[in-house]
Amino acid sequence: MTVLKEMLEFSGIEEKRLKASWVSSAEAPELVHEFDTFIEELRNLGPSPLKSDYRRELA
Amino acid sequence: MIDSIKDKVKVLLETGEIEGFLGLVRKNGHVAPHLFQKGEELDDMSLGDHKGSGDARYPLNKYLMNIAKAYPEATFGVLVRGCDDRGLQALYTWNQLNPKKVVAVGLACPQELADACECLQPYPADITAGERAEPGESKSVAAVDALVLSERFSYWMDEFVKCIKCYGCSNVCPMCFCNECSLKCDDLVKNGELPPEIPVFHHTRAMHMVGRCVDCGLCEEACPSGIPLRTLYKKVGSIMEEAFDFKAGYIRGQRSPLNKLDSVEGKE
Repeated sequence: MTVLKEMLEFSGIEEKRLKASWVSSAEAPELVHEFDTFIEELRNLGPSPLKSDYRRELA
Repeated sequence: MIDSIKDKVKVLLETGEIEGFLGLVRKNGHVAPHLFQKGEELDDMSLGDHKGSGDARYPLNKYLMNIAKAYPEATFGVLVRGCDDRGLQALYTWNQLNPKKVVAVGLACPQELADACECLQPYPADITAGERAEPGESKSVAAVDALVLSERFSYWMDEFVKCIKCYGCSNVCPMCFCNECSLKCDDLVKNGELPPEIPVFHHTRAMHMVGRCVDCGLCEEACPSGIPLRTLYKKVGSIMEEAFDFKAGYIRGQRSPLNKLDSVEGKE
């Protein structure tokens, strides 16, 4: 994860957009909390550069 | 300089210590890999300097792996520069080559090549020809690091979009030996689509180069689109060095931290 996050930053993608969490399938409330928190963080970061980049449609 | 190499190889072949020497030959105005088996062949030997220093290098370790698989009992010699030597140590660690069946003949790179490659160690452990040059200064990675995030994104996307999926980078890479390459798996990388899914395609390769790349630069040289792959792989290599104090091929037997299942203290 360390390497992947730093490589993403180097390539111009905020490393905060990638998150690894370890939640047991028996911990449903914790899982929902993880999702809600992360979705909030992502909203604050704004649209991903990958979404709006026109070059992806060049092919 | 080439004479010291020729002399050493001659002795190795004559004493029978090696069955053949994997090096380079100059034929018809071109430099190509060659397995020298007899003394007479040594006259046409080249060190990979075609028009400039080291501009006709080949991934000799890659061919050595194929030859060694075909002739597992035989010992072969191979011409190694600093990067090739790191490659050998890493390949020994990955059990792709048997160190007892390989005799490395070392060539130290001249300063101009070390600078062009920004090589951190432009000489092998055992030098037969050439003198140790100073490590090349790393400017390419620093130049990208100096940009802001959005500029970095544009920079890389503009480069990656040129990719024609020729697989030259992995085909030439001396450290790429996977029989089933993820980049060639149709479920992950769709057949017939150009450019490949960017930046995922190149990021995937970069992640696979973590703990593996020995910074020989052949990928960038091979790329027909001129994508600065080496800069990206140098960066992942430096991340490994900073976070885990690991550099591929510097210590024989040292396995990449990403290759171990036991925990590395405090790090993922």
